[in-house]
Amino acid sequence: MIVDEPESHFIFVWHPAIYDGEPYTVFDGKPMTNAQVLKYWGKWLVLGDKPRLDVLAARLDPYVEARRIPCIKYDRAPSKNLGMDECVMMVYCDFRKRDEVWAILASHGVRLKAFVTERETMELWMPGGPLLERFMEEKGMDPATREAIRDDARKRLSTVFDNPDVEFSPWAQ
Amino acid sequence: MPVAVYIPGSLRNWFGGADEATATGSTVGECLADLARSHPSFDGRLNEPGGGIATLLIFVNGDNVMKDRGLETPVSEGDTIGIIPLAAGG
Repeated sequence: MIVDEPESHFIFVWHPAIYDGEPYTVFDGKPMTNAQVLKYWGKWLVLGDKPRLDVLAARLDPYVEARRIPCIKYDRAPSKNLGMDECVMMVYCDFRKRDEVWAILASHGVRLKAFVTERETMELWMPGGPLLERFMEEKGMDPATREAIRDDARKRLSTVFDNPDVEFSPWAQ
Repeated sequence: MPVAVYIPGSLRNWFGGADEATATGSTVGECLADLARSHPSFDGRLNEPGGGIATLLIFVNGDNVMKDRGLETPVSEGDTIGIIPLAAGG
């Protein structure tokens, strides 16, 4: 099901059970721990304008309903504050199943092959990470605000990195 | 050896509007240098202040080369290279 709520920056494609609260970071029927997510979880990235991604989302929705793709999210509008001028779709999956998911994407015309792990994404948003620092620079934040945001990022990420055996819990978006 | 390079819409102005290019080299770095020779806009972007490889994510067959050997990552005929803005990885 496509969840398009205007107050969210993202449009999601969820299985109804996941929309109702079932975890989506699951492998072989078991919810993944933080350590497993850091090791295996990631996403294929698809870039394009929103109309193209809307069409692709509609075509991929049946695969989400069939649980062949765990979930998808994509930008409602380009993230201009990060210098983007097109939208990004993230097609989530476990690394161990990424070839199956890529085959689906390729069958729908995706050619640029780019897989990013959650660990890589978190590293981009860590204190000192290039995206977090760029975000704060673009917003013109003062040094105290920047430090507060770095501290918040540090705390959020430490819940994942410092608790490897705890079941992964995604952040609200 | 030639490899196919895929380019998203936001970077196509560096490549004359093309969504695909061919580069020759035995490593990612050699392929990017080859692309820069044939696409002056890409060359200019790589060398401008605030630009360069640090603003991009480069993939070989879907894998981020920074997890491998970076620009020294080897490529073979039939491999594909993908180039996207760093911000898209977040």
